[in-house]
Amino acid sequence: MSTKMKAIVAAASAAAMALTLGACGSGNGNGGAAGAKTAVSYSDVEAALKSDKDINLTMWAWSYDTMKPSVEAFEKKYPHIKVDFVSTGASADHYTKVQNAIKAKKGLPDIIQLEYDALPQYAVQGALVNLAGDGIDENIGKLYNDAAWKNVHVGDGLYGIPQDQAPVAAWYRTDILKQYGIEIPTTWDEYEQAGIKLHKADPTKYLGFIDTSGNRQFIQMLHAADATPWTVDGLKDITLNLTNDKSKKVAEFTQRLIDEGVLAAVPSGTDEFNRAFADGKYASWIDGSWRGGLFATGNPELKGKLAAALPPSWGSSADDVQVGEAGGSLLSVTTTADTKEKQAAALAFINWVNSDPESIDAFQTVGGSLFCAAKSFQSDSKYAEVDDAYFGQKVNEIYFKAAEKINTNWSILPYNNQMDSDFKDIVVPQMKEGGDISSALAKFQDKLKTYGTEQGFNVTAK
Amino acid sequence: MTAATASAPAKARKTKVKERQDWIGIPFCLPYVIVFLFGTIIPLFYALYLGFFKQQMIGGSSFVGFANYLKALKDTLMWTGFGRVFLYFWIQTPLMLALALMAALMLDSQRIRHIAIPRILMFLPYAVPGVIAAMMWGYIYGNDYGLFGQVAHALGVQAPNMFGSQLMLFAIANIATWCFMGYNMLIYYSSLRVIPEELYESARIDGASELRIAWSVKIPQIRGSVMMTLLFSLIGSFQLFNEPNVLKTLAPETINSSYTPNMYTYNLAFTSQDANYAAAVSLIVGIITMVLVAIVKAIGNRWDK
Amino acid sequence: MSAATVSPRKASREEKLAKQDWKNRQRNMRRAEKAAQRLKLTGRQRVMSWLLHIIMAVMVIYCLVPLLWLVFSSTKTNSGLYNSPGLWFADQNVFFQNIHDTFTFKDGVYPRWLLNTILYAVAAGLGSTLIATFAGYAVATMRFPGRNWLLWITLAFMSIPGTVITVPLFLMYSQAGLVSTPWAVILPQLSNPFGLYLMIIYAQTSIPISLLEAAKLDGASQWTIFWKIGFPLLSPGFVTVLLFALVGVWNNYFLPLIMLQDTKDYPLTVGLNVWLKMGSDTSVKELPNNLILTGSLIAIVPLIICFLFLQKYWQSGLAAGSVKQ
Repeated sequence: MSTKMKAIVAAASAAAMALTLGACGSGNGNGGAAGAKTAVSYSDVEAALKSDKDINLTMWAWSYDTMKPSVEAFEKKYPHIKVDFVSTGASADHYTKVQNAIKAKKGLPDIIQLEYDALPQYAVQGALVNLAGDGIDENIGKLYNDAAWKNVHVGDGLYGIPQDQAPVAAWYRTDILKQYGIEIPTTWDEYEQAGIKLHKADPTKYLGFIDTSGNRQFIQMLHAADATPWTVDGLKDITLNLTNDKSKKVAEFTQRLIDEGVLAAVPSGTDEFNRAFADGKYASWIDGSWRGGLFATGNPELKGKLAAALPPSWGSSADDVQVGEAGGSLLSVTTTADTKEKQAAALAFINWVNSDPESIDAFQTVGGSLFCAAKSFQSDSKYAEVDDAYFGQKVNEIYFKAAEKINTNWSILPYNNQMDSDFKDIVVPQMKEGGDISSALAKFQDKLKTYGTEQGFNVTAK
Repeated sequence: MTAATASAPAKARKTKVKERQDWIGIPFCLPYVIVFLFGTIIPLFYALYLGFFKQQMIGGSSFVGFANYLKALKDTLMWTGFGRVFLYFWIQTPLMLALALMAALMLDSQRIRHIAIPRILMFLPYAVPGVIAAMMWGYIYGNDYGLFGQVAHALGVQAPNMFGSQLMLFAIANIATWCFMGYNMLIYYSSLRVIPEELYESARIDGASELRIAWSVKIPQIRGSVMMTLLFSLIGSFQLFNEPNVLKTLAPETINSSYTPNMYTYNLAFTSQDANYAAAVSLIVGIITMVLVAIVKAIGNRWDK
Repeated sequence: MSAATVSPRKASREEKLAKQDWKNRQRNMRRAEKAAQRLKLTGRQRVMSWLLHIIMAVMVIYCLVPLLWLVFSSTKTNSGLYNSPGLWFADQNVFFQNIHDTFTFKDGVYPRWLLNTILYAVAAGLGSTLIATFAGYAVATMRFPGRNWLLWITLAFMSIPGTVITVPLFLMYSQAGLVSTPWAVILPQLSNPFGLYLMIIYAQTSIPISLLEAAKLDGASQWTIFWKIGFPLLSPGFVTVLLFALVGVWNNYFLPLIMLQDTKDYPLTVGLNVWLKMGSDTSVKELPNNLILTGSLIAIVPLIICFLFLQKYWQSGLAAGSVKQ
């Protein structure tokens, strides 16, 4: 009873405190001036690993199990840096917790895992440390895939170190394609022809599907088609251009594929969808490379019947394929790490975990392979050569090629969550036979402009 | 219960002189008051206070007076969602409560054997977490591979699209009914069991049918419980969240982020990062619900007389 | 406190009276039930009885079909799940393997979630029910300032959507340093307005005021009267409210999701959702659909046991309350 009373009294005083706190509001670098540039230089980072001063860091991540062996390897090698590592559950829940901690100005750990899509949102709120100190870009930047390195920047700031990447790939049901005499398509035009052929031969079958459960698939198509629906300059200047020719082309083409029975518009991940996929209703799946690893556990019965390939090209031949991204994560240092020592140690730690060959090796042995963003992974032939038992292919080779082809002319909106929600409200209802995705994009743009402006960004819409 | 409250003031007046107040009642209520204060009232006033501010990703927070509240009153998304749950209330509540009452009366009629079995089986759905319920019904509603689809295929007809905009409210109403019928049944049943038998024993001996006894003796006796479940269903309907929110994963094309007022505020608070405006909308929805509760309660009081 | 004000002799006498009273009632109840069973049914009544059984069966089937899907699903492998009829077995029955895998998946986090859930449910469920019983009893049987207000304020505030208070609640608990502790999940759930409303109704219909007055004249304290007379009479209500509260806490998703940060502290609903979302998270390599479904089935079992276990008390309590004057 007494501890409960204590808690109640504590909550009461907290309520009073919180009431007064709310009024003064922003605190921490809000108002556009996101986290000031750190004083940590590359030599500080090197020194942090050599020092023998004890440093304790805290970290939150959703992919705890994947990362744990690497973290343990680091602690063994550098025992003076201790990492209190908390598993926060699924990524969606993880973000709720991060956002709440930012709101409460209390409880955020020193290091957090983020997806590239979520990074700008936290960077502009001033919750992350800008890591662009002296020598960092020269010495650390070269360790990672270029597209990934670009993705951890917001404005001129560096707000994280890339961990894994999700270049888009395609998986085809080779048994079905064979049955109907269809080759794996390399361009979207070929994809359309193949899809029409399949659907005509068996109206219950579709060559693929467009996922209505979120923005991921459609937006990555815009990314791959180099449609640049939006550009972000610095921290608060946004230009929306969802009605440009390339965006319109992607929208109209997608609509046509739905109308022709090439793509079915369905939400993925439901019981109905999983049954349909197992039954061969959809002959291909286009998604981030990590999807490849899930087939083996989700659909063991399809072993040997699926083949990975590069996604179809928007150009006229397979050679000019550009690839979008669908996921991928990074590690960021938050403003909770408020001393130079801590920041240096944190940066040294996340860089080691994300790029050191020993850590990369650990990532490859836990629960399948993680598609690391480090060059030590992507350019090492020992990883490219691995024969995947499930696909009977050297799938890494394909994913590596996809990663090389990622279109780097791409910005991420600093309010990606809202974008996803608006996408589902406005664009998804048009993703049906006889829908009008193209004009939905115009409405979508209006909504994005309104929200961005309300949040204090300078938004222009073309 | 209403009868008791109604006569309480009269009694109190009469016994004012003689009877002392039972001050001991206050310590009995104190734990409840404390937890209610800290679990609901204080956070609520905090929310009310938050409603006077505006928080931007760029620019921080500022005092905006009643702007959020005024904006909410003119918010068509909120009113659309409101209209939808109002319609939903009329579809779902009468059906569910009637079924629950029927089940409870049947269990209480002493004509059903081994009542413990149907009683627990009907209560079971209440114990199923919302997300799992959505997965189950996702299978059942499935147009091609689900139960509906398979039955329709066998009959050679087209399965109804439960996820279209016409049937969606019914799909939701069905899940909610499935989930809460047993719950309400249990409330009714336990109230029926405390009706003194003498009240209808003589009627039974006189040969009145069970149906007649149920209608003229039992139902009037448990009207307190009926009223209570009605009020809770009203509140539940206006706070509809779980069922549509999980069905959204199955039918993202039909259910949008402001499908119900509660989904709207949730989305505002956790997706749009606008806890301030979310607070304003919630409070307005809450106040309207309060008024409706009061109206239903007033009508119920008339039923008592 | 109570022992000091009431002499042992009086207390034991009261106890005896109450017990005897209760026994008599139970005996009468049993007799009445037997009499009803012996009652000869006429032809029409027999048809009615058949009809009732059929309607009841239909309602039970309606409630069970979705659950059957869960039961069948828990016997399947990941691939069997989507390659076999939903309401029948797959070729391979791996029910026990699934149970084993569910309990050992991810270093055995599932049993941990189960224990967490039990802790939260018992603490918050029992706590909130007791608190509601105290208050409901007092409102129904005593006269003190504010008694009418309590219920109506409660009901009025219930009309406000719960989502509105989660953010303030989190901010308050965060400042108090209670976030990510069991207190953050238990304390907010101690307030149970539904329970209060239900208890007031039960207390009003099942506690004869005259019995309390008599005990008071005997010099018993309110505290003693509550435990010796009030509480036994309220037991059906108590058990019903407890059952609802247990289920409510057991299945609460949102509060623990917001308040807890470490997966090790999660209750089952939040934990199973983490597994469910693994299929769409990058950097995660598993898709344990069969384990999610098996885990969900196991999660319901303790509630069923609880219901069956409480049923005994519930029915005797009902019998006690049923012969009211």
